[in-house]
Amino acid sequence: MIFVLNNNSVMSIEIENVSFIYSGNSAKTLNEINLNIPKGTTLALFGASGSGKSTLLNLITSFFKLQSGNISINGTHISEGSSKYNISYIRQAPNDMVYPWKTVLNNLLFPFKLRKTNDKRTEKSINDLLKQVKLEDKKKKYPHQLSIGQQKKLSIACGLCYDPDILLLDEVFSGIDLPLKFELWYFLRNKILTNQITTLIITHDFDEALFFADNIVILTPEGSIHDSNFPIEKSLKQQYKNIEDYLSCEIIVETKKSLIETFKTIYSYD
Amino acid sequence: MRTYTLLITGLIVLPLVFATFFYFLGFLNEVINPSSQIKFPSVLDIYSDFLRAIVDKDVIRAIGITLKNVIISTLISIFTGVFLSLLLTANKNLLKIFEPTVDLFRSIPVTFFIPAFALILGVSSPNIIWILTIIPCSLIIVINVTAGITQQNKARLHHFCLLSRNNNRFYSFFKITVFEVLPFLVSGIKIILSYSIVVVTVLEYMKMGSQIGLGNLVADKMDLYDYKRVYSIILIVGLIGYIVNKSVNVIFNKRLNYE
Repeated sequence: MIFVLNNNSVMSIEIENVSFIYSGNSAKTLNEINLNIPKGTTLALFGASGSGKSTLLNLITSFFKLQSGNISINGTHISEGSSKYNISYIRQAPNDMVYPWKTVLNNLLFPFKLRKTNDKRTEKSINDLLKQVKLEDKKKKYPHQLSIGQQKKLSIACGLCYDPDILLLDEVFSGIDLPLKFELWYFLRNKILTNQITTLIITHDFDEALFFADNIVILTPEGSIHDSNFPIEKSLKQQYKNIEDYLSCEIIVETKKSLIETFKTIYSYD
Repeated sequence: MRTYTLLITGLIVLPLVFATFFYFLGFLNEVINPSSQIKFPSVLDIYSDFLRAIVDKDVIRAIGITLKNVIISTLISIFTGVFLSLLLTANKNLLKIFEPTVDLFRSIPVTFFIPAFALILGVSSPNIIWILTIIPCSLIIVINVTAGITQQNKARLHHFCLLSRNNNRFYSFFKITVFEVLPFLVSGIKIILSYSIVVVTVLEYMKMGSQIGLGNLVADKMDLYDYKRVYSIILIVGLIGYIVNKSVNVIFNKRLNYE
């Protein structure tokens, strides 16, 4: 089944009949996956640990070699066109995103230096970003001199500093306290909505998925996408600015209930 | 306590520990072998001779020779070790094939290679010291650097490819892998510096390839039963090791402030 969100923009991620099997495994980790994420929309992918969520992100970013099926970005197969696009893949561990031998500022300037697009305007935008994530007084520090929460902020800033067209989030907010989590949620959703970033978010947190996503899908233990999906009206996000208000509005509460029920049924637990 | 207070305390404790150690050796000498003609020197004798030794022309020359041998061997070991590591990690299978060889070679005490190289190069050739030091030291570098390359954070490397939009292996090697491996290399350099001081002085002591190094002086003074000077020189060797290690730490901690 292919889920298509209503958006007429040109940039999108199309995943068609993708299957993947790890060497030495008898069962497929991903089984005939079909997904379509148009530009500017956010899709949340749910699934138990080991169900193949991160594998899918690794396939989209060509970290893993595609075995069968097709993944295209904006209509171009990833093997041909991945280098054309600004893809950002923010992982759970900040250490995977930041370079310990570079200061906070240099970590953020690194992509621009690599692409030779570093100028005064870039430095200004980086300084603005540092202010937004409240790390402006830490810009000369090294990552190991920051707290875990600050490292998370830095890794998110690293993932956003070069204005990605596509954002892949892999359990980014796990293991951080609620106030910081809400602060980062606001910041990130604001960026996604303002810059119309096509986003695929992997999470185990129902609230997080409901807060970010325009649609939520569930990965089954067999590695396929479950038939039911949970679209969320974009207007709701504009209507409720406060997280608590948004998450407690009737539509979201109902969606959450039905999401939890479906998840329970798929994974057979009470 | 602050770091420098601890350091100063450590530097005060050091001569006291050595004094206790030398006193204990003298005591053992008295108890176990009371009829011995040659007595172990007193702590005061050793320390006063140590102060004379550090300004002695012969000792200073010996320090220079030993340090020269240590530095040459270390530099060649680093170069050889890094080169071999790059060669071995170029291909996963190559590393697996040569892993037992590297492990076997590093398990052989370097002194066992003396007969072979003494035969090839001659006992008096200075190259024998370098070669016998380079063999174990370059293996230490190989083990450290290959560990650094194979244990490199793959997710970070992948992130780099996404950032740079460039999958070229050499490009990522010079931009990322070099920095990832640097802490492993530095830790290897610290080990081989201490190790090469030990190997060089032991080979000098065995009269291999040098006649005027610190090891030679120890052997000469032992022949003359000048134990005060023997232990003064041993203290100097220890001091060189300490200073070299501290200097390397200071240099690398300034430039390598991560992991």
